[in-house]
Amino acid sequence: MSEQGVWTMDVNKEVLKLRGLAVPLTLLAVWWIMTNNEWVSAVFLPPPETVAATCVKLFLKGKIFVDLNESITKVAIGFLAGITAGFVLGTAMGLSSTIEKLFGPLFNAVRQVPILGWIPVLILIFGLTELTKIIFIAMGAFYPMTLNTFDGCRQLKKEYLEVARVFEFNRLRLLWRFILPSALPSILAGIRVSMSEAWMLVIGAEIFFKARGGIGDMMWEAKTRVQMDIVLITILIIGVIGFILNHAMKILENRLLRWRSSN
Amino acid sequence: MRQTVRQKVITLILGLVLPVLILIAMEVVARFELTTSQLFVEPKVIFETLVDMIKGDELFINLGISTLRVSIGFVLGGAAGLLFGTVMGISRTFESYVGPIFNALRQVPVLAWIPLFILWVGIGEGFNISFIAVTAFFPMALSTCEGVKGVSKSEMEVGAVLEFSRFKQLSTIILPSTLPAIFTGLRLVLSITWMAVVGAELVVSSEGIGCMMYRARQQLQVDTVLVCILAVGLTGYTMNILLEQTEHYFLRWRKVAG
Amino acid sequence: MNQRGTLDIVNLNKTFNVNGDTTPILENINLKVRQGEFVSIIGPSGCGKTTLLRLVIGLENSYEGEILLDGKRIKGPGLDRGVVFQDHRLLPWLTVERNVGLGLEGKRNGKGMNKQIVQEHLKLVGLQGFEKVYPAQLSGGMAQRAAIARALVNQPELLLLDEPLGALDALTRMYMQLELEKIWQREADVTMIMITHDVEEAVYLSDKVVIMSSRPGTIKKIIPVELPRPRDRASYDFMKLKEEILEEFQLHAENVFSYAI
Repeated sequence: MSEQGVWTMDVNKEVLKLRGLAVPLTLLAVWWIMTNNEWVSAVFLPPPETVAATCVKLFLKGKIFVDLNESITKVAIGFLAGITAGFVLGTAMGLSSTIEKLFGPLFNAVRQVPILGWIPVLILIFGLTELTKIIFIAMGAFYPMTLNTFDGCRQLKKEYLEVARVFEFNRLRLLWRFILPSALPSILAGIRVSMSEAWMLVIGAEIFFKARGGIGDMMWEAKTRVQMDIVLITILIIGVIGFILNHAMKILENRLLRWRSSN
Repeated sequence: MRQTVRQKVITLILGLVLPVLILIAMEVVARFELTTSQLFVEPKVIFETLVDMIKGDELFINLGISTLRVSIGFVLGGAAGLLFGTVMGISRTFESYVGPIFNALRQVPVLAWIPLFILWVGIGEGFNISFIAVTAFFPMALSTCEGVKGVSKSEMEVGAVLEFSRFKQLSTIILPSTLPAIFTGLRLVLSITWMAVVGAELVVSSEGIGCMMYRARQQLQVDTVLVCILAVGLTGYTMNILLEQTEHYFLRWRKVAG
Repeated sequence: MNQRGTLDIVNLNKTFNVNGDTTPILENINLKVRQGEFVSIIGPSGCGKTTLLRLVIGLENSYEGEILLDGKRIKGPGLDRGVVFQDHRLLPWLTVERNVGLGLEGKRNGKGMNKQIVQEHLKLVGLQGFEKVYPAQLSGGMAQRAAIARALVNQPELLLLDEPLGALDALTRMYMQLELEKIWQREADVTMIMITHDVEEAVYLSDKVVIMSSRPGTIKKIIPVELPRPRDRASYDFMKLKEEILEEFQLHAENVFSYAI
């Protein structure tokens, strides 16, 4: 939230919080009224109480944790693989213009294709296995990471480069003390974007690859069985996890980038 | 950096090394049947398929359908996002009411909306358009909102001193200042909507290039799948270029200002 | 006479080549700076004084003539010539401590020794207590002091300063001139070569003022300043020297001059 909008005046924080709840609470009330008076079929939109009850049941039964675990494991592996590859290529391309010219065109060409488009190809080559899903996720994490790392490595200002020369820094120390730290903001942003991308793609992978397991699969099954309440719950969970990941990353960024000017 | 002719040629050659290597590898693997899977085809076959598909209607019709869906969703979702984002940026009151739930909904990854939309809207064209529009809405609203908020205070003060009406403020100060952010949003939305359309078509196979890929995959026709990928990539690229040209046209003043 | 810290510039010429057109930038520069001297270079915009300094630093390499440090040709930048830039160029991601210690990294002095050297230099420039602070939190004057400390940790023979106080406001600048003199006097052996556009600063700090003219850049006149230190800005001799220098630029001392150099 901003401290000032363009036209309206400042309001204190407490009022802001209350206002923020106004719309969701109103919607909740509308939802309750609509479903309890059967203005809307329960299949289309189950009443809030039902959803809440199902949610509790799911968590008590425990299977949901197994599914979550599966999804998170896949994300973690794919994400880590993807950002490692992305970091390596991005740095290489950023430091060496020869490498940039070698890999750049192909990289940019492949980038034009939406990542989902590669699903059929991946299935054909690797089959419908868990590995395929992980490769898919890794691909998704790979792109933003490479781009951001590449940008970051090229960011070092000429002025700082001269400082390195004056202090007789060799290439390795230049990389470690100058190039990478100056690239760190971009690199961290790249990791953050890759993480969001990977989390989204694991859901996608579970939907599109239609193999067993994971929260995306759970959601898909629920859709097939027209269990709206479960669908809603899974959406909520997926959103919450996405938010946590994003937020955690931002906190990490702020810690690591303390040196940036404050106000 | 001005490059000499020689340097430009070297750049070009270097850029082609990898693609050529890949083509050669495909040729070798296919010709000598180095893998047991029958999935690696010779580049020549792919090329022939490409020609066939261009000659026949299939490719262009499906591509056209997908592009149309993208465009409609893009326009609908983009316009809604633009409007919503502008209001959010301008009015803090509005933002304080609507902001939290907007941000909450934004956390849900695009693809996770698919099952919900299928249950609510069914699997007809309505699903495609509405889904794509929603995926376009969020990034557009966010970019616009940030752009509007980023309008420099000093510029707004000029407007206040000259006693501009609200409308005039909007049209002469806020809108032009926000254009760069809007275009950034548009570029983002373009790639997201393309992904959404492919996703939608893979799941809900009606027509469209995604659907074509899906069927081709089921029939193990690697060449068709690859041609589709090429088609999607090229179309996306072209639309991107068009967008960039539009951006340059509208933001001409930026270059002059330095 | 090859004492440590002697700079000889002999018949230095530099031209700029673009598509066959050559523009002379520096012409016939001859300058000798003795060990421990404080020399200021002053001149109008475009006279090549920064280029000259960059040649001595070693950041630019194409020229005709000789630049000799202690009788040896310089070959690129090095730790024997410390540099203070106009924009302090402290690395924003390192603390003051690490910034100042930048030149000591990779030297096998042992960690304790390095830390001590850094401490000494922080004390020298009056920044004790600011070790763990990041550059973004420092004022302009403090950052520049840190930059000076950084340049001195390796005990260079020459300290080259490119308008070090130019980015500071007038009050801070006067304060920093005092500080700079004190620092120089404490580091007894360092030869200082400073570019400035402030005539008063030049007279206040230097043993010699080198006046350059522009297009092409040549040395117009070298004015020795033999006043005892610390110098009185209001004394007759001081003002007279100032007037002498300003006349070279066809200006008079009454004006607080602020033409852009």
